[in-house]
Amino acid sequence: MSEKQFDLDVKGMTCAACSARIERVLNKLEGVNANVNLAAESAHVTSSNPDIDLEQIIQTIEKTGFQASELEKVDPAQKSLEKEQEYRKLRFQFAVSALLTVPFLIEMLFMLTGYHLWHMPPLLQLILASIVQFYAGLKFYKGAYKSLAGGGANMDVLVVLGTSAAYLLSLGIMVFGLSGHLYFEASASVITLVLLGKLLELRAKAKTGFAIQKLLHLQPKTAFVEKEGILEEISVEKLHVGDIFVVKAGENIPTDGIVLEGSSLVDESMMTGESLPVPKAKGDRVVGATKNADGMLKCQATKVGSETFLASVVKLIEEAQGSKAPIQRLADTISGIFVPVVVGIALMTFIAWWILGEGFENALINAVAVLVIACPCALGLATPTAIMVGVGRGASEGILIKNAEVLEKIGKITAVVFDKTGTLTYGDVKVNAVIAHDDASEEEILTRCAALEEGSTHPLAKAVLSAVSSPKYTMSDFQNVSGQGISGVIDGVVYYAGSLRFIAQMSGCDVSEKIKPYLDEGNSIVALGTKETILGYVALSDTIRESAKEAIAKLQERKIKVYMLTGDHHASAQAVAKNLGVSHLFSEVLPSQKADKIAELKAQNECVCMVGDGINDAPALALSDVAVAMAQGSDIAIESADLILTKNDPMNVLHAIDLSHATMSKIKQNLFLAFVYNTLAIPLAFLGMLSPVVAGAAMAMSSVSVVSNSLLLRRWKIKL
Amino acid sequence: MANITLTVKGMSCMGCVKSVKGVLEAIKGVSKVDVDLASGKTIIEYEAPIDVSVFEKAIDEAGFDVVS
Repeated sequence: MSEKQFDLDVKGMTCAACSARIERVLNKLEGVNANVNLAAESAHVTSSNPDIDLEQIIQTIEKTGFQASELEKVDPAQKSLEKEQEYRKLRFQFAVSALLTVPFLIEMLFMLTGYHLWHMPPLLQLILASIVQFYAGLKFYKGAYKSLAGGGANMDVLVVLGTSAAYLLSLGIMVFGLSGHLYFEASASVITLVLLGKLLELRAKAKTGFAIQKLLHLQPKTAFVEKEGILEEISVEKLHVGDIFVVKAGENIPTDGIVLEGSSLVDESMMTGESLPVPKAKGDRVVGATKNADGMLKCQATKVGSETFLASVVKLIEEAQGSKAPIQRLADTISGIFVPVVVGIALMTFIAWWILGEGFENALINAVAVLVIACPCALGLATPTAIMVGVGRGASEGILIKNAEVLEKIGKITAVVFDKTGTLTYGDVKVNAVIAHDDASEEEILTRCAALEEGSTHPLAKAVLSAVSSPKYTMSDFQNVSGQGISGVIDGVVYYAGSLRFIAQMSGCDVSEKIKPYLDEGNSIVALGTKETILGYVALSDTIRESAKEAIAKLQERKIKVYMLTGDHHASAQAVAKNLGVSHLFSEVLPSQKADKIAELKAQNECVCMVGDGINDAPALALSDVAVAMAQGSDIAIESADLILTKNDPMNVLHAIDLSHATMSKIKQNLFLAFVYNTLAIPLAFLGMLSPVVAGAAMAMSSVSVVSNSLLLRRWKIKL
Repeated sequence: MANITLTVKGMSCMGCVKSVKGVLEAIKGVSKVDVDLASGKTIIEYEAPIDVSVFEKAIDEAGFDVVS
């Protein structure tokens, strides 16, 4: 029996119960198997019942009080095809326009050399110019209409006004048999040149989007799925969460998953920039589109389609490239008032020349030159092209920037706050020593501590747990005192585990002097106690990232204040800070206080960048001016971040600042270039020293120079 | 005008409350629905004579259970 599949958008869900409810109701339908995803607001429904159609499923969902509609699938390949077609169409229009303009130019050349050997018949001129004006130039009319209908005025308005004026003047001269020069060559060549500018612009944009295309091509088209022991090749779109797929040596992994069987080396360089292949075995996560180098892997899909890491990276980059930087608002405002002002100047030019007795024709031509030269398209291109290239460059260096504003802002940072664990360190905490407070055995302390930590998700808890081979006690009545410690009952006795301060407070005892040397070495301490006494301490530490020291030194060299933020005991935090060379330290900070520290810095007028990775960093990240998350961090941290470092390298914070400076200076150069063209050329045109044709060429040049200047940013490299 | 109080099981958030209210208010003749998330108590005010089974069916189709 054939199975039908439906993908739907579901709106209105607020909690896991909502999604579970929709699933339950859908599954009540005969032969239907539904999977509703709360986060993605989507439902995937398979049905073996031929009577069930999409309409019925939508109705069923709507009866539960939610809105459902068929999911629109935006295929990246389809999108790039559309872009390609757009480019081809524009290229064709330009070719037609250019071909028909060439005869005018030949005639002009003859005129310039003084030989009137060949004169184009006016009728031929009219035909050629009309085709250019209304076929190749149609998009400008459409654009101008849209813009005016929307209450604004863009460059299309200027092009349309300028070329139409020249065209209609010539037409009038012809129709009424007036004696006067025909300016068809002006209207035709301006349109041709502006089209050329657009074509170059589109090509430059396509180049900046190339990095994304390259990423998408890495994802294989098909996957080998194991169904009831049989391997079957299906297209990746048909993969579902939970499917078991096999990846052979040398193949790219089809989607995100978890390894069930086999071991291999996987090249993840496209995601992390790490050139060494990473060993993968049972239980490890694999990322879609990375390359399986040698062994065979059997994996279970954990994320498919638009939820995979690759898809989210691509989406992120695309959104960032399309977003507006605050600096662009300046350009937009200028463009907005620019057009009416230019039309005003053109009108003044026309009136001035007419009053001066230069005749209607000359007056109009000079006004047309003003209109054409003033096109602010270079101004409009200045910021977005630089942002696109900048964001793209960042992505290929392991710096994912969520929007353009961030790219601008991170260059203005005055203070960087690093969360210690997982950011400055690898987060691979290990137990170094177990110290008894009195006479309890190390074994006793560690196993009881592990039993308590069973309920906790804290990184230190995981380390304690992994230090114990087999659990000896079972704990009940677990309670979490956020950031301070935990409590639980073992064999009827209440035990506490947590920070030194917490245990001292709970037991009413002072902590032992014995732990001091461990603190001085930078160990984190988990203490274990009861209501009456302290039993002992577990000393843990993790490895400092190699590049952390250098990153901190370089940041401080640039007069950026570096802070280390940690919940660790002051003595131990200080030891780590000293080792890293961090000048400012926030220690013994409860997770709930992390955001307060950021607020404190902001109150001192610092522009704060927070770098973190954990769930408890999320509020601090949200509050900071620029939030940076390590890609290995929790989803929540990544969600609240503005910038994600895929290489998990603190040095990339520095690189992001450099990239910001490079991009911003590029934007400023571009704005300067664009302004220079316009402001120098308008007075020339006003004075009648610029023919519309030259004006058109100059304008195309200004767009081209701005776009090329932005593309130069692609050469930006990380300074070592 | 009449009103009836039902106890609905399975609601866990304001989204669920909205759903229950939504499906009940969609029934012709119902003028007002009050839902208390914590207790599940749902008070329905209606004008026309409507059989309780109509309410129960709507709630059931929305994926909740009517206890009483």
